[in-house]
Amino acid sequence: MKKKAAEAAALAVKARGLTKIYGEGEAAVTAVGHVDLDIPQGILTAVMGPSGSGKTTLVHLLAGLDKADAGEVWIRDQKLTGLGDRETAHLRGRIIGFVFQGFNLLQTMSARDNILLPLRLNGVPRDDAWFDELISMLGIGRELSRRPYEMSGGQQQRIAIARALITKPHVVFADEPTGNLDTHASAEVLSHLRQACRELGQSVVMVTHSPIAASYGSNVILFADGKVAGHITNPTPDSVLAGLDALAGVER
Amino acid sequence: MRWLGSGLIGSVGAAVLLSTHPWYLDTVADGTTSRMSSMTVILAWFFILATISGTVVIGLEPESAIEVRATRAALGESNRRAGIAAARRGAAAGAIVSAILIVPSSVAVLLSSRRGSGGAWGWIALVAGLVFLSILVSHVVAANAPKREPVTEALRHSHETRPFRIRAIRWYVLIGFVVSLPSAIVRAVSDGGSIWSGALLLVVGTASAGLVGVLIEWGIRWGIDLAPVAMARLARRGRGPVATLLADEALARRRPRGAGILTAIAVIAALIAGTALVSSRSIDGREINIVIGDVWRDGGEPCVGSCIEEFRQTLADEPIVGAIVPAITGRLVGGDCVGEVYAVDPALAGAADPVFARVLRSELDTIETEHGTCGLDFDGNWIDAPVAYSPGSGIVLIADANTVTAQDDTLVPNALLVYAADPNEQSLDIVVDTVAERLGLEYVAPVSMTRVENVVDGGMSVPLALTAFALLLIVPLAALVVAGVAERRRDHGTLAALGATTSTLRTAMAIESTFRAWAAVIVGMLAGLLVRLVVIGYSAIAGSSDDSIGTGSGDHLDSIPWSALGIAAAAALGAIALISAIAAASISRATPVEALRPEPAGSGTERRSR
Ligand SMILES: Nc1ncnc2c1ncn2[C@@H]1O[C@H](COP(=O)(O)OP(=O)(O)OP(=O)(O)O)[C@@H](O)[C@H]1O
Ligand SMILES: [Mg+2]
Repeated sequence: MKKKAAEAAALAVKARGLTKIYGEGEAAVTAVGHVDLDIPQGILTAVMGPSGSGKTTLVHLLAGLDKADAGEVWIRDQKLTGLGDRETAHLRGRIIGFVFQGFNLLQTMSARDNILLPLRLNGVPRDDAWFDELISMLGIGRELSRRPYEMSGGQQQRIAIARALITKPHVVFADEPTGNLDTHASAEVLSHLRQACRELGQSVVMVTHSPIAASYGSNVILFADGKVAGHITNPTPDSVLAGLDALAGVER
Repeated sequence: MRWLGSGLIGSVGAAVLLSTHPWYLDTVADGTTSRMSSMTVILAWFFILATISGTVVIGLEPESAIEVRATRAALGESNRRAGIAAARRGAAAGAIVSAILIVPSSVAVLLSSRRGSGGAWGWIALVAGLVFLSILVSHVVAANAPKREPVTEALRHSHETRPFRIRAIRWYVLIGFVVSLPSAIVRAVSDGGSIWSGALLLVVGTASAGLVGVLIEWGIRWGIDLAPVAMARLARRGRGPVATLLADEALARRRPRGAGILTAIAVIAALIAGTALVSSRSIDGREINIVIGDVWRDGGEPCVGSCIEEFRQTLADEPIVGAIVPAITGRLVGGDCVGEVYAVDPALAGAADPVFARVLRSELDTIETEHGTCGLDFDGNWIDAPVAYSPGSGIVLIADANTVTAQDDTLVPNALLVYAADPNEQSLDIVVDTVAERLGLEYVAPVSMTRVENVVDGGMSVPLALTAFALLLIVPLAALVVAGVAERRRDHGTLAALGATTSTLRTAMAIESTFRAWAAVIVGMLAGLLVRLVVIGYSAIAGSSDDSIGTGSGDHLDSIPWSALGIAAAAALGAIALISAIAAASISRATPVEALRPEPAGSGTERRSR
C-alpha cells in the first residue's frame, strides 16, 4: 500500500482500462475504450484529436465528473471509485479544477460570484491577492459585476477559467479553454497555465484543437476513436501538426 | 405532469365548489329560497378555478420553453404560426384539464343523487367550458408575449431577476373588471339594486383586484425572492455552503415569477374556499317522509280540542303512520322572514325524529345570523320568539312552544305533522286525507317532504375546509417543488462539479422552497383577507347582504373565521416544510455530467410543440 502510494505520487492522474460506452446495441458508441494513461505531475498535458474522438468524455471521466463503465482513475494517490458524497465533493472542490467546454456558469450570479463560488462552497478563505492576479491575468476586471448572459463567449470562457483556478487546485482539467479566445488572450491564458505548472507544481490537462495551444504543453496525448493513438513530448506547433496528420492518415 | 397538476387542482376546486355552492336551493319546490345571486357565485368560483388551472399550466411551463420560443422566432416562425401551435397545445391541455375536472364532479353529483341535480350538470358544463377556454387563451397569450421583444432580449429575460413593475398590475385590474362586470350588471338591474350600487360593485371589484395584484407582485419581490436568502443569513450567519448557495442566489432567483404567482394565487383561492367553507353551510341529506297540514271542520271551524284529538287517535291506528306531532299554523314576520309556516315544538319533533329536529334547530341560527330574529304571527297574534324553518318545507320550530301557547290561550294547535313509519312509503298523504274524510274533516294544504336537506353551519365543516385548504395548497406546491428540482438539474450539476455535496444541495433546496412557499402563504393569506375586507366594506357601503362572491353568510368582520384560518395556515406551513424536504431529497446523486445533459425526452416543450 505504502509502496503503491509512493509510486503514484509522481503521477497527477492515472487511468487503467477506462471505458465509457454511450447507448446500447447497434447504436452503442464507445467514446472511451480501455484507456490506460499516466499523466505526470507538474506539467501541462494537451489532449488532441478529431472532433467526436472522445476527448471531452475522457476528461470528464478523469476528473470524476462522470461514471465510467469500466476501469479505474486515480488523482494523485486517490482512487476515485467508491468515494462517498463528502470525499467526492472535497476532491471536486479542492483538488480538481474544471473548465467545461460549454463553461456552465450559473446564469443567476454575477461573474465575481461565479468565480468565488468554489471557495464559498468549500469553506476556503478568499485570497484577495490571488483573485486580483487572476483577474488581471485574464483581463476580466470590467466584467466582474455582469451576469454570464451579458458577456461575450470569450469573456465567459475567461470567467470559467478563473473559477477553475481560484482554489489553486492540484489538477486542472480544461476542455478547450482557449476555443473562444483571440490569439493574444489565448497566449496569456496558456502561458499562465504553463507558469502555474512550473512554479506551483500544478498539473494541467487541456483538451485543444490548436497545435499552437498544444505546443505550450510538455506533453501531447493524441486521441482517436476513444483510444490513445500516440504521445508527443516537448511539442512544437509543427510536430503537433505532423502528429495530427499522421493520425488522420491512420484513420483513412 | 403539468396537466395532471392543473387537473388535480381543478377537480379539488370543483369538489370544494360542489360541496359549498347550495345549488340544490335553486330548484327546491318553494321558490322563496332560490338564490338570485347564484350567477355571480358561479362566476366568482369560475374566476378562482380558471386562474388556478390557467396559472398552473403557465406557471409550470419548463424554463426552456421561453428559450425554445425565442429560438423558433429567430429561425423565422411567425407570430401567427406560433399562435396556432399554441392554440393547439392549449386546446389539448384544456381538454385534458376539463376532463379531469368533469369526471370527479360528475361522480360527486351522481353519488349525491339529490333533487335538483339538473342544475349541477349545467353548472359543471359551464365551469368545464370556461376552464377550457381560459387555458386555451392563456396558451396563446403566453406564446405571443415574448415575441414582441428581440430574440436575445427574450433569452436574457428568462434568466433575469424580475423587478417590481407597476405595469404588471394592469392584468389584475383587468381581471377584476371582467369578473365584477356581470355581478355589477346583475346588481344594477335586480330588485333593490341600482345603477349606482352596480357601479360601486364594479369599482370595488376592479380596485380590490388591483390591490391584490400589488400585494402579490410586491410579495413575490420581497417574499419569494428574498425570504430564503434572509433566512439563510439568519440561520447560518452567512457561512457554510448551504448559506452560500442561498445567500448568493445561486439558485434562489430561478423562475420566481411563475412559481410565486402560482403559489400566491393558489393560496388566495384556498383562502377564499376555506373561508367560504368555514362560514357557509355544508349539506348533509337524509330520507324522510312526512306530511304536515292544518285540519278544519266542514263548517270552516278549526279542528281543535277533542276534534284534533280524535283525528290524531284515528291516524295513529293506521299502520303506515309513524309519529304524530301537533303543530300551529302561522306566518313568519320580521326582517326577511316571510311565508306561511307550521310551527312545531322542538322537544316533540326531537322525540319523533332527532335528525329532522336538528335540521330545524340549526336553521334557527341561520335565520338569526342572516335575518335577525324572526317573529311568528299566528292569526294576528304576534309572538316574539326565535323560530326556525327548514327552507322550502314551510315548517318552523318555536324555540319554546309553551311560551307560545301561554302568551295567548286562543292560540290552538289545529295542525298535525305526520311521519311515515317507512320512509319509502309513497301513499302517506293519501292515507291522511282519507282518514280526514272519514271523520268529516279536511286536511288542508298539506306539505310533504321526502328528503331533509340538513344545512349545517360553521363548525361542522371546518375539517372539510382545512382539507380543502391544504389540498389546494399542497398540490401546486408539491408540483412546484418537484418542477423546481427538475429545472435546476443543470445548476445542481455545475454546483456538484464545483464541490457541493448532495446534502448541501438538498438542504439549500429544502430551505429555499420552504421559505419561498411560506412567504407565498403569508402573502396569499393577506391578499385573501384583503379581498374579504373589501367585500365586507362594500357590503357595508352598499347596505346589502347580497352574497355576491359566494363566501357564505358573512358580511361582518366576525364572519372571518380567524381561528380556523390560523389552524389552516399553521397546517399549511408545516405541510410545506415537509413537502419541501421530501422533494429536495429527490435531488439525485447523478454525476455532474449526467445532470448537465439537457433533460431526457419526456419533459419536452419541443416534443409537444410539434
Ligand atoms: N450523451 C451522449 N450520448 C451518446 N453519445 C454521446 C454522448 N456524449 C458524447 N457522445 C458521443 O461520444 C463520442 C465522443 O464525444 P466527445 O464529446 O467526448 O467528443 P470530443 O472529442 O470532445 O469532440 P469535440 O472535439 O467535438 O468536442 C462522440 O461520437 C459523441 O457523439
Ligand atoms: Mg469535446
